[in-house]
Amino acid sequence: MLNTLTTSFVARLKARDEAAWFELWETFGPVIRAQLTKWGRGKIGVETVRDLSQETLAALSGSLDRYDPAKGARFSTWLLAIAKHVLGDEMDRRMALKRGGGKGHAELDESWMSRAGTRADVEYEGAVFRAKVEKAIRMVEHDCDFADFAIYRMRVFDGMSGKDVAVALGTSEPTVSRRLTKVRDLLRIRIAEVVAMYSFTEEEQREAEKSGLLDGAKRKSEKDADSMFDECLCEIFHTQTELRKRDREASDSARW
Amino acid sequence: MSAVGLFGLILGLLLAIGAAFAVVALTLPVVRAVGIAVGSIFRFVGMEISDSLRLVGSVITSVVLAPFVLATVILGRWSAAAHFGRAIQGEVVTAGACVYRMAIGHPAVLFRARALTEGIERRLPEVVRAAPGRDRPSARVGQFQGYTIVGSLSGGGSGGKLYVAEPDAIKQAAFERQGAPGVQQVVIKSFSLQDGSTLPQIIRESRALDAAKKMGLVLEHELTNDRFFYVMRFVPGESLAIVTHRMHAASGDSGLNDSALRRTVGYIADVLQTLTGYHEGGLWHKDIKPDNIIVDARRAQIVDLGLVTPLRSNMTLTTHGTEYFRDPELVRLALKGVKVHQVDGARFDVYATGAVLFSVIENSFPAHGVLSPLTKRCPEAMKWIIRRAMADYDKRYPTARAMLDDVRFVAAANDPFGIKPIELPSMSGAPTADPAPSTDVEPELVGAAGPALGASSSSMAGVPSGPRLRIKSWWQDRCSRFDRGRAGRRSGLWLGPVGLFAHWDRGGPSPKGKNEGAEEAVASARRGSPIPKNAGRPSAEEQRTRARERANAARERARQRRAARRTPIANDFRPGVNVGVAVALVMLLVGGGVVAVAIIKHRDESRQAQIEAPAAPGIGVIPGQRVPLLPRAGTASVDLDTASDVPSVVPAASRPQSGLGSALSLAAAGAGLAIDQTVRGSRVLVVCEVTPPLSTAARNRIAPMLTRLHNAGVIVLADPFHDASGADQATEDRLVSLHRQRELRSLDSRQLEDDIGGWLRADTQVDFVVWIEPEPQRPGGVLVQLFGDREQRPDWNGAARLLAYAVIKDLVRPD
Repeated sequence: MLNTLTTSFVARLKARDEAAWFELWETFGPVIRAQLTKWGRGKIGVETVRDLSQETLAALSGSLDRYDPAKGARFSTWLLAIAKHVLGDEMDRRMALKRGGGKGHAELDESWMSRAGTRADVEYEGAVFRAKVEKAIRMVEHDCDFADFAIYRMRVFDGMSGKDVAVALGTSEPTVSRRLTKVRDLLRIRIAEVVAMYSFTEEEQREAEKSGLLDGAKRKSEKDADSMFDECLCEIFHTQTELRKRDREASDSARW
Repeated sequence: MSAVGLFGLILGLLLAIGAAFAVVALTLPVVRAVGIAVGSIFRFVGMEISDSLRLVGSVITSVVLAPFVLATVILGRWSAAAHFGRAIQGEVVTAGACVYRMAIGHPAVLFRARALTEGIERRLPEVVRAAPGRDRPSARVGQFQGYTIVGSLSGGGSGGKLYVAEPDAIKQAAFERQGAPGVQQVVIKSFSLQDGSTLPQIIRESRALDAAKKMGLVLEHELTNDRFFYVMRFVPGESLAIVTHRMHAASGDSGLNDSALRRTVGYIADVLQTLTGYHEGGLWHKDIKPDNIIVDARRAQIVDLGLVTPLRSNMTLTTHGTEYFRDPELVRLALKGVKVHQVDGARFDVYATGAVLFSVIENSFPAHGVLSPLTKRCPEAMKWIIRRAMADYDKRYPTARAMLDDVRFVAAANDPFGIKPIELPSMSGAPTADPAPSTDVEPELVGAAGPALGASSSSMAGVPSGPRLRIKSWWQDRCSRFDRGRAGRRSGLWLGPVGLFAHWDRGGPSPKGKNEGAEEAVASARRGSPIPKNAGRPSAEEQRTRARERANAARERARQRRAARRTPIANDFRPGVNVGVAVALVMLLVGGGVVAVAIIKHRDESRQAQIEAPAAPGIGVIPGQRVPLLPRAGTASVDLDTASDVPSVVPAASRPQSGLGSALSLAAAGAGLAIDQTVRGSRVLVVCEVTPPLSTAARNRIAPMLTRLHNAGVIVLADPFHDASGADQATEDRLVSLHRQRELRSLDSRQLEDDIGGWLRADTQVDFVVWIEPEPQRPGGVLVQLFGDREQRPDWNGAARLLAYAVIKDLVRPD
């Protein structure tokens, strides 16, 4: 059963809310491009990958109306299936062009995505989850006070000590700690929201807990839970940064 | 076992275990290295095979597609030809990339030398892409009056052509009058429908030029039916992108050194200073990026006004800009349909400047937006400035001047690394100048200004509320600024029943033609005379024309939107000849040429073989000439005008003396062939039917031929060049007899050969006949025919060959 966040987001997509589509593109574009690059290595160029990732979202737009939650497909699988379908369609189209004839685009139906061949690998699933977390971080950056988020960034993402952060910003360590807690709490809320928004199955919704981000209840102390959260978030952030860096480098070398 | 033995055993075991661990520890890295090397080799081989197959596939596909191109070109189906041409172009690019990877790319990866190929793979395409276009505008576009074009620049992505030009004296005087003295060189950005530019590009570029011109950014602009161009000062220097690469190359991997950092801060301060002027002048650059910042020895300057937009424009926001330097929030707002005047465009320039600073520090793009990590050497205060500039819309620096204050603070510090963010002016609570937009800039005259929708939302906090605008003329799309407090002083003048506002021109002359009606109405009102009925309004015809133009523009926009939704191939659609078509045609031409050469060569070889392997023996071959071979008689004919040269004849005195005689030497010297017969002493009767006086060409051909015969030891009868006394009676009789034999037959007739063969058998005093006559088809040409009788001469082959050589200046191969 889809939660309210998901249904409202899907409703926005169905209503052709361009901002919602841009969000989807901004959040999952690099992941789709990475996966299409992996599949189409040697067969399609980077520019084509970029075009196809946009077409994936366009195809997603067409398939939204026919989406049936009862089939139980994960959000990531859904995205992957459409991406693979678009890639396969492109290959068919190229072959048809080479034969000098025309071949119409294949119909997209949800039964296709349940085939065994569309099952995602662990790397892809991880990338989708990281994209969700990155989205949550962006939301917090948007919602938070600039100084609060800057403190969290310096402390967690840049690895500065609390004392150094306090000195740099002319404040006390307790203040830094308090602001960190404020941002961290907001991050937890946003991560839960984003994961819920982009999840179609309960299994997907539990991913944040599995990754160690939202399993504070199992920790011995609140401090342990916070440390674990920060550590996980830092790792996810930097891994996602690497993905984006590779995506950009691929764009730069599009001609090769 | 004693305790000592037990101890020794344990010690030995421990040592053995330790040694084993040591061996493993030492071996493991080696094994790992070998494994990595083997893996790399396998990967290399795999990639090479894969690319080889891909290359072959591309070539095959191109070859298969080439006939389609030719067929469609022949049929005049240009669209289809362009379509197939694009397909071939793609295949050629793929093949080229495969060749490059196989030859350079993969080996570089194998030997861990990616840095070696980085220049080819990244910098080279950048340089090629940035190469300027043609140095002169095409004839279709025309010249620019008052300017001498001296070069061109890379046009970028706006679709315009950039030319560097020198204004003439009249233009320079005009620039001086408008406050721009000393303009020696200018850049002309030209858009022409004849030269591939599109209407939306022209509209976009022309939108803000009036305002830009008031700021002195644009010296002149002109818009005609099919061309639009504007003129700016030429700023010499290099782009900040290139300077950044150079600074990083000089500084090393860890980041910019102190000197480069200081220069960077200075450049950014220059950019912010310029941007402050833009913003205070009511303009938004909208495309700040390293490529649009030109750095010379002194300072950095902003160029490219392609996207400059008035801050108070009533147009809808567009997503134009450059990825990584364009705030994602701008895209969101544009997708929501927000108008330009409803947002603070200056903040998007601030974001872009932060992104530029990031890219200079990191030598990379901020691919992660505001979350992009700074990994290179950078003062903490500078990191803070970058993040503050790239922060969320309502959290970043409110103005370029606020950012400029922080940047200048860092630039002024002795040790930028010692500055803490808290010390920055923006953090220390020091008030930063945030002047309201200057009132000197007129709002863009595009429609009527609507209410400031959404101005109260949180994301729009800080947006300056624009002035109230009053519509002056719906027909002319003109409006005036309306300020309640100063309405009576600066706003339009209410004219009572006329209902018109005078043009607010701030003291300057009103544009000619636009306000003539209004001025006339004002004058009439003052005079108390009746006001013309249509004063200030365009005629119905003009209104219809404008309506048509608006409708056409709307259609064009709709077409562009539809085109933007199509697939990439459809977007790239341009019928006609493209690179792929040209490649296909070249392939076909080259292939056809190769096939033609092969066929011709094959024909020659077949003919040669046919001639060289006669069932019946003859005198041999003369390449390229008809040589009939008969059982008894043989002939050789040659066109002396086209006969190939052969080595000169060895003079008799210097000929090597051998058993085979001088004739053999002659032939051997000519071609090194072994001839086992000699013609020394043979008698050759020359029948020369060329009417005197001989042309120089004919003389130059016949005389040496006969000389060669003499030199070869041949007795030449009736030699018209060497027998000064002329032929004797017997020879004359033979000539008459031969003429009778010939009658009217041509020299190459089979019957004539038989007849002369019979004549030679009957006359034992003559071994060969050389018949020379004018070539009928070519004035001045000479045809030479050699006749001999095989049965009469047992050494026929050798003799005939030698004679043929001597006569026709060519050699024959021995049978």
